[in-house]
Amino acid sequence: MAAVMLSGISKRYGDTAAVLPLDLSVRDGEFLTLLGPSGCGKTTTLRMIAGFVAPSTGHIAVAGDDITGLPPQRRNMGMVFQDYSLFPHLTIADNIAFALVERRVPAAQRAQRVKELLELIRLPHIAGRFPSELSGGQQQRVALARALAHTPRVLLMDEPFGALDAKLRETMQEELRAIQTSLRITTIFVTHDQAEAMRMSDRIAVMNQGRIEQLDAPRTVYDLPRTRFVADFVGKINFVDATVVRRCGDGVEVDSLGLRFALAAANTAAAGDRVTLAIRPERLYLAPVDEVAPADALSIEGAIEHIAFLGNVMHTEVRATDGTRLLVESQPADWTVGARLRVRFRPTDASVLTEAA
Amino acid sequence: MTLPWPRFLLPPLVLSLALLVGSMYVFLKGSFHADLGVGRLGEAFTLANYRKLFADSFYLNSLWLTVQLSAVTTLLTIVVGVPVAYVLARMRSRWGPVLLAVIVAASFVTIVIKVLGLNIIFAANGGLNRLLLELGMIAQPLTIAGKVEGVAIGLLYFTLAFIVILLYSVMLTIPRSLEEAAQNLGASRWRMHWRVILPLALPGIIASGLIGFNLCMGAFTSAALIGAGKILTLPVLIQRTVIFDTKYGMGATLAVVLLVTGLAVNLLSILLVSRLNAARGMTA
Amino acid sequence: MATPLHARSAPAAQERRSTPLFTERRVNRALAWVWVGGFFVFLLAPLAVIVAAAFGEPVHGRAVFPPPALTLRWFGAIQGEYLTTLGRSVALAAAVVVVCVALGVPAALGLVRSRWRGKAALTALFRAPVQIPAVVTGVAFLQLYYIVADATGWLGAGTWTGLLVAHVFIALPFVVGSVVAVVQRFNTSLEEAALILGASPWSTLRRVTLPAIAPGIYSGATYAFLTSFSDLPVALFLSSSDVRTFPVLLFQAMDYEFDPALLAVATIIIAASFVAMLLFQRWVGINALLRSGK
Ligand SMILES: Nc1ncnc2c1ncn2[C@@H]1O[C@H](COP(=O)(O)OP(=O)(O)OP(=O)(O)O)[C@@H](O)[C@H]1O
Ligand SMILES: [Mg+2]
Repeated sequence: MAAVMLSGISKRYGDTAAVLPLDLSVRDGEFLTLLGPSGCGKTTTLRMIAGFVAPSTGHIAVAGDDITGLPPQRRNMGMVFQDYSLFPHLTIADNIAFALVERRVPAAQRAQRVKELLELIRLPHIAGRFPSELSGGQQQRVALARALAHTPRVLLMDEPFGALDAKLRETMQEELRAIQTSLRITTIFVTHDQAEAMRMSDRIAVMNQGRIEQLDAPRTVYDLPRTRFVADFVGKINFVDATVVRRCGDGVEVDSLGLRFALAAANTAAAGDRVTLAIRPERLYLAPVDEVAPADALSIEGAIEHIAFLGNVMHTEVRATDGTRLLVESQPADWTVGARLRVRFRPTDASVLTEAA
Repeated sequence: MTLPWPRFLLPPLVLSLALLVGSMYVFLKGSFHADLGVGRLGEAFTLANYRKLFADSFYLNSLWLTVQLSAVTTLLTIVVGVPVAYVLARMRSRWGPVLLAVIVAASFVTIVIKVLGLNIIFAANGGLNRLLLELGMIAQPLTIAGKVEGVAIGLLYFTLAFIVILLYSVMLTIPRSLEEAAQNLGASRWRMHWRVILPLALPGIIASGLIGFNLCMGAFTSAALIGAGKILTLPVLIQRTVIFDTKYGMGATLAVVLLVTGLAVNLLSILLVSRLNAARGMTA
Repeated sequence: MATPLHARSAPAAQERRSTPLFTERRVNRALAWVWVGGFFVFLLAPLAVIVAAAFGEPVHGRAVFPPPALTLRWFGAIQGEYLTTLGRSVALAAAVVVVCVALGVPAALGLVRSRWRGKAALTALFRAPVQIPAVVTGVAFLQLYYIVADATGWLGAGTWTGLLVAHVFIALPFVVGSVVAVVQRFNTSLEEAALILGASPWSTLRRVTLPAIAPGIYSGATYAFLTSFSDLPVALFLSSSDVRTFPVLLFQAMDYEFDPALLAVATIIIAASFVAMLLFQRWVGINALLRSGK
């Protein structure tokens, strides 16, 4: 049974649709990330799950129980806010024990639990301090401990690391993931940072304009984006026009870049349809014109138009003979602008976007 | 969070409204009824009180005196207070908060006590006057009782501490970085004060001045104690008309005039400030 | 006013090299200090004089400044009536605070959080008593009490209840104003955090919202206390010879032969004001008072 199940959930504010009807099923113990650009409806979705926003349509269930009409305080969830939202008038220990006091847990047990949690976040010595006496990273950890104190069924986090600097952010990401894995708590995490989503998640739901465009493991989202938006939002990518020649099994045979090749395709494109292929720059290889390609690779001839050296990698823009421009990411090498070469790739590294081209 | 907020509002609202409307209606409607003596009012509706007020130079002088005194005092308060507030707001030493606390504490002390102190300072045989007489700087002792200047000083004490606190919060809102920017552009300190800080603080200064002006217009204590029955500002006159003459009708009429004058000055200033802001918006 | 930036910049360096006695900066600084110093002398003079005179020997039976010699006799001469009046004034102000907080905090929460059109008008209504000169309020309440007395037989004028109601009327705007200011700035995600942790809305109000807006409540309460405690005009109309506040007593005493023992009482009040300020500064922070001043 899914830990959290959204069915047909949507939210309208007057004329604007913040979230269009969407279905989402979060697995038990899973770390699921809602990823998308600003204003795409991530926060709104999360706040509907938390109970702060009443959905316009649809139902929310946790472990099979419908909680759509339940107020936040009866949902037994934990939440970490972007601005930490620690209670400024309470000590760290009292902050962490807040939910336990509401649940009438005896003082001795509370103290024990607070101690455990402070050890979990590796800050055992700060129990008596006030939030204003902590650094941003420490406050964020306390916020996590507070959200976990009452062993909630679901942990919700809305851009929790947004206010931290890059270095600290990485540390916190690792720590959070470690804690989440050890507790196996179902976690729904919101971010607009694709690297963060990649690093932490079991699955990523990429959102755009109130819709979930793709829900997959990070690797799949990256390697085989299903829509132009997902492909573009998550890293750099090349889009290539193609025409479907025929369907074959799970995939299609296409005509593209003056080549004809087969590749997997989840969509229903039929013969004659124009589609778009997406392929990552690092899945393209530069080779001398005369070098023999491996059996599973295809190649196309072109000339270098522009080179950008980025330290560990090099970005090369190649204009193929059919006019298509391709971005290639490779180890730095001694190519020069104007040089003729072959761009090589494997058909399996390209994905067919579901939208019509 | 959803609690029945409008219901929270209801009891205080009903009470405030009842007291406001009740008291003001009862009192101010008296301005439309003739005084029959010993506190009784005529039944008939009449504008006689207003006619009398605007025909009698005694009342008009009082109104004019009140406005003048309030304006002058407010101006003095601002001139004295703005530099003080600025220096305190820019002060980085730990004495800043202490000095501020002293001002706040001074504003805590009732004006009755401050006037008591002023009376001692300006006593004809007091230390100040003896000193000044001996130095030959004055021929007659400086006193305040029954003098307009005295009342002005009293009003100044009534508003000064409070207004400086207001001005201080205004000054805090002006970012220090702006001053540094101005100086980096080569503006001298004086020019910077004129061209950068003053314009920025002006709306806040005007708002504070307005509050000071309102306080002065309604100030009773210093005017009554120092005026000693000779300087009759409107609040003093209202009290005397009601208590000594038991003329509630005339008292109410004076109150209406006081309220309306205050309101008019406030509206005018608000208009001025919005003009000012609009003009600034255009140049910015 | 030297920022690290300035300290390293050219003018400062020049100063050190040539070290003229009167640089523009130093002159400005000196002027500023003279101005501020003068201000404090002016501000505190009447209070200092009272304190000095309260410890001074009289001349022809009157307190003077500077006093010819020091004495504690005026403190010994404080009449019981002064102290009971002072005590009643304090008790009245305390009661005003209690009632104003009980009314003003819900009012402020309701004002900020209700979602209706007429909120601006209501805010203005709660502010109205501040705009009315105290003398007018005093007379108006006196008349209101007479009318109420005609109808019910209960005369508010000359009673503590009558004073309490009138003082609540003039002090309530300060509590509402201060609390509205903090509630507006209050970060509602704190409440959401409490809710999701299992607290009911009422529990959230008690455990999170009220403690978080406490500085605003304290500052409003302080202003309410002072409004009541230092009010003369309203109390003047509503006092009787049995029921009068300390400012009224002082006011009436100034009309006649002045008893220097009152200086001793005034000294106590001045000292208490400064101590109260220190405590407020220590416990709540002076900023709470400043914000609400606006
Ligand atoms: N209370 C509201 N009233 C009206 N519109 C709202 C409200 N809350 C959100 N919206 C709108 O709904 C859309 C989605 O907002 P949401 O806050 O969910 O975006 P988000 O994905 O979290 O963005 P960000 O990354 O900027 O936080 C936005 O267009 C926003 O303007
Ligand atoms: Mg958001």
